[in-house]
Amino acid sequence: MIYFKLVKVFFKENYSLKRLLGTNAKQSKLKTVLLSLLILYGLGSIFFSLGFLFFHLGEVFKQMNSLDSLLTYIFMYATFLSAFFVIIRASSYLFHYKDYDFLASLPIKNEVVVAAKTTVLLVMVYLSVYIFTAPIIFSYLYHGGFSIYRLIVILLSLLFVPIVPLIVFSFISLLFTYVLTRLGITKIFGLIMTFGLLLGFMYFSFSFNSASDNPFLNQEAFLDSISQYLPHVKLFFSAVVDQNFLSFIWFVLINLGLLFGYFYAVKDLTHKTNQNQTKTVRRKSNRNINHKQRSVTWTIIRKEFKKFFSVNIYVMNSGFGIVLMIIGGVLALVYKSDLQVMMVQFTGINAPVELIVLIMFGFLLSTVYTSAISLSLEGKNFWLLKSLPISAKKIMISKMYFNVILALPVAIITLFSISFALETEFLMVLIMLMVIVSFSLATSILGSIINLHFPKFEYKNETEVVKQSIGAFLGMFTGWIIIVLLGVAFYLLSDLMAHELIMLILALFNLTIFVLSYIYIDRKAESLFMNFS
Amino acid sequence: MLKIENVSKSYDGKKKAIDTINLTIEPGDIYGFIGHNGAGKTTLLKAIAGIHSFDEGQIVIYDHSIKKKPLEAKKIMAYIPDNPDIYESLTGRQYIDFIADVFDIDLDKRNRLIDEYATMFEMTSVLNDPISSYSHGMKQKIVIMGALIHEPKVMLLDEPFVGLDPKASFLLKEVFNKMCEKGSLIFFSTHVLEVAEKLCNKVAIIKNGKIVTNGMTKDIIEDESLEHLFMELLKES
Repeated sequence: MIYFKLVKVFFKENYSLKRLLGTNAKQSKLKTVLLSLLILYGLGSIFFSLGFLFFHLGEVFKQMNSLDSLLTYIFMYATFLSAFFVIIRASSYLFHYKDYDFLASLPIKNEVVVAAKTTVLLVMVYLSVYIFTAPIIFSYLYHGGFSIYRLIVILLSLLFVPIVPLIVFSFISLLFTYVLTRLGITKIFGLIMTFGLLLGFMYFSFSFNSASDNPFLNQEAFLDSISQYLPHVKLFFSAVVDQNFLSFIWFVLINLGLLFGYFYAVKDLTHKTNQNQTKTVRRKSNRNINHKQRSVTWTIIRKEFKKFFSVNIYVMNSGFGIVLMIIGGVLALVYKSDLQVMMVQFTGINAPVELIVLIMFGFLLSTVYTSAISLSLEGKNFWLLKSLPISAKKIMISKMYFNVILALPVAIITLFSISFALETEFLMVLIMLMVIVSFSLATSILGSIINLHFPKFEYKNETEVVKQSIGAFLGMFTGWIIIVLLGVAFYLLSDLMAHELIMLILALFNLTIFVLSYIYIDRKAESLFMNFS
Repeated sequence: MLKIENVSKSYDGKKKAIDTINLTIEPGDIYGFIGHNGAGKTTLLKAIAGIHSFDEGQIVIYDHSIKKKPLEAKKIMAYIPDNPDIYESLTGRQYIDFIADVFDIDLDKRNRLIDEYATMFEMTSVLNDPISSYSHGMKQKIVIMGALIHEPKVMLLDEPFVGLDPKASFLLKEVFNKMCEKGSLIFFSTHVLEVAEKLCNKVAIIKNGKIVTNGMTKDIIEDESLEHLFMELLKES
C-alpha cells in the first residue's frame, strides 16, 4: 500500500540516525556516543524527577483513597503534550510541507498523503507521551496493585488520546498562521503565543503553594473539573478503573471515527494551503531605510539577530532563559519582601545569598547557547559564508559576540534589579557583575568551539539543530559543568578567604577559559572550516 | 495529447502569472517552452502537473482533466522540477523504488529499466549511496531516472538541462527522441535557446504570462535564429 511506503520514506527522512547525528554513525562514533548520552540523560532526568514526584503523589492519593486521580494526570499530560507538539509542528507536517511539489505531481490521493504525514507527526507525539506518562503509569500500577489488563488498556488508550488535540490544535495552528500571515505579524505573535504556551505549561506543572506537601497536588481540582466536561475522560476512566472493556471499545471507535473524519476534512484543505505556499503578503513600507556601511563583525551579528528572530524554535529554546531573566527581574522588584524571605530560607542551607543568585544566573545564561548551534543553522547556506572573504575566526567570534549581546544586557539589568531587591552592597554587586560577564564570555566562546567540532549542516527543520543536535546538548551542558566547577571551587576556598575574593578568582577563572578558547579558535577555526564539506 | 485551453492563474488576485494560455501538444512532440525569468513558465508547468491550481480554463491530458481526474492524469505523466530537491535520506535506488511502487511497476521491469538508465547516466556505482552525497547533476539524473521508470506518456520538465554535464545532456536528448518515437510527448521549459532550436519540433514563447508566439519551430524562426527572434519579441510591446 502506498500509505505504508510513504510512511517508510517519511520516517527515513525524519528519524534516521544520520539525520539525528548530522553524519554517518559509523564514521562518527564520538557523536553516536554523545547522542546516546544525551538520550540517556534526557530519559533519566524525566524518569527520576517525574518518577519521584508522582510516586510520592501516588502515596498521598492512596492515603486519600483517590488513587484513580492519577489517571486524570495521565490523560491530561498526554493531551497537553500532544497539543504542544501539534501546535508547533502541524504547519510543517501538514499544511506547508516542503516536499509538496514532489508529492503533488505523483498519482497519490490527498487523503493518503495526509494520513502518512499525520502518522509521522503522531510518532513524535507518542514518543513524548509515553516517556512523560511512564512514571505516572508506574506510580498508578505500583500503588494500586499491578494489573496486566489495566497496563494494556492505558498503553493502548494513549495511542488514541492525542487524536482530539491533533484535530483541535492543528486547526488552531492553521487559523493562527492564516490570520497572522494576512496581518503580517506572524513571527512576533507566534513567538508570544509559543512563549505563553510554554510559560502556561510551566505554571501548570509547577503550580504549588507553601501548604502543599507535593507541588502536583494542587492540580487535582483543576484536572478533575476538566474531566467533567470531556466524555473521553469518562470513557477512559471507566475502561481502566471499572475494567469496562466496552467503554474501551467505545473510546477507540470514537477516536478512530474522529481521525478518519479529520483525514477526510483536511485532505482538500492541506492541498490548498500547500499550493498557496508561494503566495506571500508583501507589505510596502514607506519608512525611509537608513542604509549604512558596517564592519564585517557587525554585519554578521545583525544577520544572527535576523536569523534568531525568524525561527520560532530557535527563540523558544535558546531565548527562554532570557525571558525567565526578564520575568525574574520584574518579579524581584514587585515581590521585593517575598524575595528577601525566600533568600533567607536559602541561607539556611549554608550558602551565601550571592552564590545562590549567581548559580541561578549561571543556569539561565547556560540556556542561551546560540553560539553552539548558529554555525549549524547556516545549513545549506553555509557555502555563502565559506565563499566570502571572511576568516573563519571572525565568523566564529562574531557568532560568540551575538550570544553575549543577546543574553548579557538582560542579565546585567536583572542583576541590578535583584540586587536592589535584596539590598546587596554595591561592591558585591560589581563583583557579581564581573562573574556574570566573564561566565557569559566563557560559555559563549566554548559554544563556538563546540559548534566548530560538532556542526550539523544537513537538516530539514531547524528543530533538529536547536533541540536535537549534539551542539545544542553540549552547549547547554558546558555551562552547567562550569557552574559545578565554580561551585566546588567556592566551597573549597570559602574557609580560606573572603567571599568577595573568591568570586574575583572565579571571574578570573572564567576569563582564562575565554582567553584560551579565543586562542584556540584563532589557531584552529580556519583548518576546521576547510574540513566542512 | 496535452490540451491547455484558456488557462489563467493569479497568485495575488490582481496580476496574472499566466494569462489565457492555449496550447496543444501532440504525441511525438518535443515542445520547448521559452521565456524570460518570471514569465510564467514554471507556473504553467506546475499547473499541468497538478501541483498548482489555476483560476480559469482547463488542462486535459489524454482525456483526463487535471482538475476533475487528477490521479488518472498523473498516472501517465512525469514532472521534473528545476531544483532536484528530493528525499536525501534515501539512496538513489530507494528513491527510484519508491517512485516505481507508486506507479506499480513490477520488479522485473523496474530492475531492467534501472539497469538500463543507471548505465546510460553512469549512476550504477552510486545507486546505493544516499542522495545527500550526490552532486546537483547526480540528483538531477536520479530524478530523471525516477521519471523515466514508469514510461510516462507525458513528460514535463522545468529547465532539465541545468546542472547536467554535456554527456548527460546529450543522453537526455536521446531519451527524449526515443520517447517521442514511442508516442510520448515532451513539454519542457528552457533558457538554452540553441537546445530548443535543435531539439524541439515545436516551441512556444511566453512573455509576462502570455504566449506571444507558438507553433512549428522551423515556421517560427524562418531564416532567423531563435535567439534573434526571442530578443525581438522581448523588445516588442
